[in-house]
Order: sequence, then C-alpha cells, then structure tokens
Amino acid sequence: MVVTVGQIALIIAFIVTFYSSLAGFFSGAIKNPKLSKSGRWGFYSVIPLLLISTATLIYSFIKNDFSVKYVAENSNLAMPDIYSWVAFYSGNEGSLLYIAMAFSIMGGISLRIISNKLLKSAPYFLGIISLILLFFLSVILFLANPLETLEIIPVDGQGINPLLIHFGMFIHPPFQMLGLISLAIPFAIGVSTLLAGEGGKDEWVDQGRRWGMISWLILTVGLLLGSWWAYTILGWGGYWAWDPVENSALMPWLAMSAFIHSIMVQKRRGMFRMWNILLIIIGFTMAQLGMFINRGGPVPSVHSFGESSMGWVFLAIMGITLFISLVIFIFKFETLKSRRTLESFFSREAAFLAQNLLFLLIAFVTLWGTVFPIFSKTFDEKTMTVGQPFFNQVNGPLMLLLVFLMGIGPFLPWRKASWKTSTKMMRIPIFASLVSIPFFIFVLDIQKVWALASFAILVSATVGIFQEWTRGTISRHNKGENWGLAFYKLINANRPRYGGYIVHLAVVMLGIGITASSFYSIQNDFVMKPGQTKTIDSYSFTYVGKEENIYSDRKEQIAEFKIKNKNKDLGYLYPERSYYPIFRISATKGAIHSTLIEDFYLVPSEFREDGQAVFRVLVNPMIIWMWLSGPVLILGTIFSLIPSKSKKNKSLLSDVLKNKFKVG
Amino acid sequence: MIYIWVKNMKIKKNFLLAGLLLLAIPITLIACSTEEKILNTQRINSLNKSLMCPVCPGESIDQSQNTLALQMRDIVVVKINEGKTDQEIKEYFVSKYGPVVLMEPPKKGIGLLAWVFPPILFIITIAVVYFILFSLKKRSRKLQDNNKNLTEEELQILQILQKETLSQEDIYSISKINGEK
Repeated sequence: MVVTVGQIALIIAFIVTFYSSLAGFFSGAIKNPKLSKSGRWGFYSVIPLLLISTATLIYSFIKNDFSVKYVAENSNLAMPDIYSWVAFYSGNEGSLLYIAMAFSIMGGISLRIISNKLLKSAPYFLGIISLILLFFLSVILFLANPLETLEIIPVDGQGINPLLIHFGMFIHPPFQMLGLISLAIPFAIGVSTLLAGEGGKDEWVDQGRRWGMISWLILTVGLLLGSWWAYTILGWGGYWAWDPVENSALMPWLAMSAFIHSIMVQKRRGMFRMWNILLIIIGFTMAQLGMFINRGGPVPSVHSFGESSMGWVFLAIMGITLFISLVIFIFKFETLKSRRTLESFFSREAAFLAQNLLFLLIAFVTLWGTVFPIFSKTFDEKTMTVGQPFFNQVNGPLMLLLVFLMGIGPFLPWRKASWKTSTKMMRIPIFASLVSIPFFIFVLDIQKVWALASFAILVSATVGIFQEWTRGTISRHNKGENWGLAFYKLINANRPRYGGYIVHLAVVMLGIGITASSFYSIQNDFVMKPGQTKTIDSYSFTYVGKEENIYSDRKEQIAEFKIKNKNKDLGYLYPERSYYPIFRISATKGAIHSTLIEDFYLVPSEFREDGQAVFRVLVNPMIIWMWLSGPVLILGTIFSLIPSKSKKNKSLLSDVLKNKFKVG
Repeated sequence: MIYIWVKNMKIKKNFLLAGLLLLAIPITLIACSTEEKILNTQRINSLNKSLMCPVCPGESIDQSQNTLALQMRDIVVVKINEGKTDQEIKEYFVSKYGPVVLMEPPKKGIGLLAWVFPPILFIITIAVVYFILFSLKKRSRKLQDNNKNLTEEELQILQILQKETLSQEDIYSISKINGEK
C-alpha cells in the first residue's frame, strides 16, 4: 500500500519537526550554533518527507484507490486525472496536508535566507516555524488524517464537489491557503527578533518586509483569482459577496497591506518599531481566524468545502499564539523604543500612520460584521444576516478614503513637509480631478454621487503617479540623460517606491473595475425559447438552441447564443449548466464577451422541460480592469522586491558615522 | 339588521376594491412605459440583492441558484406587480422567515448596534492617530534639543543623512565634510 509509505513519512516528519522546534529554541537560548544547524537540517529534511506523503495521496487519487477514505470521499471514477491535484486539497484533511507541505517549502527557503542574514534570531525563527508546522502535523496525524484507510473498500467514490471543477481551482485555493499560512513567516521573523533581544536594531526589517510582501502578494493573487472564479463560475455575475470566508481572507490581507507600508517607515526612519511588531501579530492572528472560520466556523458561508468539526482547535491555537506573542511583546517592550520621532504632523510618517489605522479599521469593521450574527444570537436570540449591503455601505466610504490617502500620501516627504511645496505638487492632480468631474457627469453620464467621488479620486491618484514619473524623468533628462535612460534610472534609484507606484496603479485599475461594475451593472433575467431574440442595453442576443450531453456523473447542457452589439456581430457564446445528481448541485459556466469597456455576461439559470430556458444576462462595465490589475500588481510588487541600491550606499558609511548619527 | 348591512357593505366594498384592482392590472400593464419597466427591473434586482435565501447560507436570492431562491424571486415580482412597497415586501419575508432573511441587519433593536459600531470605531481611530502623533511630536521636541550640541558640520551631515536615498555624491560630500573636520 502506497499510503503506508506516506503515513510513515508523516510520522517521521512529525518527530523531526518536534526535534527542530526544541533545537531551535534551545540553541537560541544557549547560543549553540551546532545544535541550531542540526535543527535547521531537520527542518529541511521535513520537506521531502511531506512531498512523499503528498505524492502518495495524489497517486492514490490517480489510481482511484478508494481504500483511502479521503480519496473515496473526494473523487470518483468519472473524475479526470488532472483534477487529482484539485481533489487533493478540496477537503479538510487534504488541505491540511497541502498547507503543511507548502509551508515546509516556504519555511525552508526563508530559513535558509534568515540563517545567513539574521544570525542571532535565526534559531528562534527555526523554533517558531517548526512549532507552527508541528501544529499542522499533529492535527493531520491525530485528528484529520488524509491517508486514513477504509476497512470496506467502496466500488466508487463520492466524487469531487462540482463547483470546484474549474480552471481557477488549480490556483485559487492553493494560493489562498499558502497566502494565509505564509503570514507565519514575517510573524516568525518579528517575534524571533524580539526573543533574541534584537528589537532595538532594525536588521530584521529588510527580511520582514520582503517576506511580508511575498505573503501579501500571494494573498492578493489568491483573492483576485477567487473573485475571478466566482465571477465566471458561480453564475450570479458578481465577484465578491462579503461572505464570511471571503472576509476572513480579506482581514489578514488588510493587516498585511498596513504592514508592508509601515515597515517602510522603520526601514527609512527607524520609527514604528512596536507598531510593526504589533501589526504582524495582528496579521497572523487574523490569518488564523480565517482558518478557524473556514474550518467548521460558526458563521454560515458558501465556502464550506473544507468544513469540519475542528474549528475549536484552530480557535484555541489562535488564542494561544496571540497570548504568547503579546506576552513576548510586553516583556521586550523596552527594546522597541524608536530612536527617532515624528517631526511634523504634516509628513509621510504621519500619513502612513493614518493609512495604517484606516486599513486596520476596515479589517475590524469587517470582523465586526462577520461575527455580528453570533453576537446578536448570543445576546438577543435573534439570528441576523450581515451581508453585502451592510459591508458596501460601511466599508465602501472607508476604502474610498484609503484610495484618497493613497493619492496624496506620496506627495508628503519624510520628516516634514512644507505646505507650499506639497500643495504645489498636488496642484495638477487636484486640478485634473476637478476637471474630470464635469466630464464624467456630462459626457459619461455618471451621476451617482459615490461613483462620481470614486472616479474623481481615482483620477487624482493616477495623475499624481504619472506626475511623479514624468517630473523625475524630466529632471534627470535635464541633467543630460536621454529620456529612456532617465526613466530607467529614476525608477531603479528607488525600487520600493517606484514599484509601489506600479502597485498603486494596479489599485486604481481595481478601483475602476469595482466602482463601474458596482454602480452601473445592468442585470435582467430572460425566459427564452430557441430562436428568440431579446435585447439588453445595446446588445441583442439570439438563443439558437441547446446541446445536451449525459456523462456518468452529470448532465451537461450547453446553450448556443448569437450576440450582436449595435448591429455588429460579436459571434457566438456557449454558456453551460451541468447538473450533478450525486451532489444535487448545478454548476454553471457563464459565457462572457469581454471588452475594455464592458462585459456581456450570459449564464443559464434554468432549462425547463418545455424547451424554454431562463437566462441571466448582465452588462458589467469595466470589470475586465479588475482582472488586468493582477499582472500589473504582481509586476509592481516584484519590482519593489528587487534589492535597492540605497542600502548599499548607506553601508559605505563608516561605523563611526553610523553610530554617531544612528543610521541603520 | 344594521350589523348585517354594514357587514354586507364591507364585503361589497371588498368586492369593489378587488374589481378595481383587477381592472387596474391591465390598465397599469398598458400604461407601463418602458421606463417604468426598467425601474421595476432595478427594484426587483435591488430587492433580490437585499433578501437572503434561507436555505443557502450567506447568499442572496439574487445570487443563489436554489429552487427556493427562484420561488422567492417570483414572489418578489408578484408583490411588486401587486403594488407593494419595498418595505412591505421585506416585512412579508421577515414575517415568514424572521429577520435573518434580510441581507443587512435592521436599523433598530440590536441590529442598530451593527450600524453604530463602525462609526464609533472610526472616531476612536481618529483619536488614536491623533494621540500617537501628538505623543511622538512631544518626544521629538526633546530630541531636537539634543541636536543643539552638534557642530555646524555635524548638522550638515545630519541633513544629508536624513535624505531618503543616498547617492554616491552624498557619500562623497559627507566624507569631505567629515575629513575637513
């Protein structure tokens, strides 16, 4: 039996991880490099062990080995082999193994780097990540083992949840889960720095920022892919429903967004030391809260794929982690005093602080909305729903304020801004934004106040970014460099900053898509007979007919539509609907005609016996900008992750000078 | 006697009303301009989005593909055609399924708490930002006093060091100032 091998590998991994965590903490305390090295190698060796367990599970999926309980529960003979990968993490047990495996790899890479860069805190770092891995391994071994076998072998499995049969499922869940657990790495960097008593030095900042940004990036990609999946497959034409599980992924993302900004303040100015540690603790706690809500959480959700009865384990571990981290934080509080302080309320530092708290505010408001149903039930015995309309009304304006700060923040210099130069810089963006308002009202016919405000703010943010780029390029060009070189040198001189601008541009694109589609989406349901033509907005669409295919696990119905926009032929669309009798679920696949201006979205909601069918048709303006923002965002993040030159220059200073002027 | 008469009148009145209503339907249908139809679609959509499907947790009836959601959507259309207001339609569903059916908590009773908390948190946030900035500023004055002891050259170096990035020239000029001293 193949899974036995996997099982043995799991047990060895468990023992080795246990050793690594002990070796980590002890070698940190007694400062024994040999012990810490052996612990490190222990951690590295866990990676192949967990890969073996994963491989045996996937192999069992491919071989349809229904003697493995998890395989029998999450696949069947009809499932194509390629979905073995999706089936692997589609249930509670398998997803835990996936998390452990992915975390061991990411932890191993970070451990390798940290042990070279942060000598004093590396042993504690090893201890912390080993403890986290140990938690997952013990849950897998003792509570939810995906490699458990059955006594009576079923002929066929129960099959995979049909909603998961989608291309996006190959990457959205793995990214999301890895994103959440990867928060443990910057968290471990921060806390190990505290434990090693290195909080007063800013050495951890570079690594903390780097890993914080990596996990932020993974989370962002996971969220975007999830929205895209919801949009194309769930068949309601939306992409975000403020569902508890979505919220629980958004909250750590918000905390991390705050962190990757405020860590820059520490990097540049040596300030916000306590704040950054606190932020990363909050971020990791929220990630754990996300896992708790996702697995047997108390709030009903559409994401109940990985549901189980072990929510309490995650809640308990969240409480313990939070408690221990805060105790460490309080004990090491003194070491975290900043060497510099704020010089002016009107400075980038102050703007960063305001923005940070705004991010956290949105996170906590989201948390409040998510747990309110439990709250109202406990205290008033009334079950209430806190859904999309609530979050849109409460978080919408806050997010707009955040985008506004994103627009003006970069104009404020570090330390102290003079009112005159800052307002001079803001002149063009504000002017552009004011000019755009009549354009939006009279030319584009945008008359809803919030939409108008949002677009005006987005305009000023965009103009501001481009102004920064052109201004810098022009000043370099005037020094004699040609345009291309000037621009290249400008953005390379400060990669974190210019990479950040690229990410901000992606946020603007996201904002355009969200605003346009939430305020100006047109939606209607149509009952149609084959041959009928109906119209919506400027589109006309003809229901040509449908094709029916019966498979062993599903009945698939594909409709054929001929689409025209203003008498221009747009070709055919084929929306699908499949009924899975085992699950009693219908999975839809919308058909979309996308342009940069709008999406024509068609999804079958019902095929009736009499040949009529119900279709939901939407015209979603500018939604494609949301999906396009993804690559831009990835590009910007990676760009700002490339090590910057300015650090090298500072290291050129002699130690005497460094100490005298306290330059990190 | 009088009682029966009154009762009859009531029944008659009801008949009359019903008749008027029946008449009203084709009239309104005819009178319905396309604009009103669009308006109705918008009303239907926004109502569908504000009602939760009781058997599919977290999903609105607009979003859900469940049969109950489909039926509820039909009821919404019927009620709108009956001339019910949005509020009446919502109340109808609440009386049937409880307040859980509303996608947002009602702005009264304990539901109000859901709405009041975020603005309170917002005010607290502003207060916290102000408090932190203020206390940082206070400490900064003390530090500035410390800088008074620095010499002219040292102040110059400090100024360069506080730039966001240091160029090759900056390093050169620092060592120059430093060297001269």
